[in-house]
Amino acid sequence: MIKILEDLWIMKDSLVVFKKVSNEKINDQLFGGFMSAIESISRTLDKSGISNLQIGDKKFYFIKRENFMFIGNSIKIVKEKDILQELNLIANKFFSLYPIEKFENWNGDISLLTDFENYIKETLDPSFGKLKSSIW
Amino acid sequence: MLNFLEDLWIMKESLVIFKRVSSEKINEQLFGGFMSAIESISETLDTSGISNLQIGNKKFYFLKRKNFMFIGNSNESIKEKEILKELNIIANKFFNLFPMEKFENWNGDINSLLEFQKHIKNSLELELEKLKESLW
Repeated sequence: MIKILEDLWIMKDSLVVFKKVSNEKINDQLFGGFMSAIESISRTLDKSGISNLQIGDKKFYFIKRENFMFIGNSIKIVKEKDILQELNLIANKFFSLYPIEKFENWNGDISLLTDFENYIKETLDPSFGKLKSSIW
Repeated sequence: MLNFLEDLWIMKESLVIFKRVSSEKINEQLFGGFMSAIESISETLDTSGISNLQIGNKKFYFLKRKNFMFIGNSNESIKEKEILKELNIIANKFFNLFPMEKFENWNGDINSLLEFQKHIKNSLELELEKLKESLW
């Protein structure tokens, strides 16, 4: 099924704490380190950091909340506003399930977050109709 | 005067061999290493590598020819096709003046490329009319 968001990564600092990737081409911690380095150097150029990048025919979008980064990718014909809306919904869901305080003395056990997948199924597997409306 | 391409970097492998930057915020070789690292990891995800990224309200576009990379940035409101057209013109001019063979046994002296600046003046300082056309 075609999706608005093909893949999703949630990062805390430079660590990938959650991912849902359809076709893994890169180790998630290497990916996390890569995105974290991009963000860090991008901030030297502009304090808001990176907001999107395009690799091949995929666009990656970034939204940042506290010290978390939500990264989603999609084919480039999907509208930016729809991707960002989707990412914002995911971020809201994430923090409603796992409030920021949970991470204050967190031991880094990411297995606690694996059930998040159940809550975003709909977001990552929308009907084709939803995808069509985001393209045209 | 408003510029169409605000900044330009020309890289050979990870070395910045030419730049024209309006407001330097980052050391050019750090910038070069950063862009080279992005390209290298992007190629793991897709063989065509990175084509653009957005930092703050600036979009950076990448054009690759052999082992050279032409990077230009502009305000996000400028159309992608206009930026790429401009970068292609610049790349053509560059290789007309400095043919690929020049770099086969090149000693890395970037001073010999400084004169390129006067050849791209028109590309980097478009008239307001042209900028307006690309915005609307």
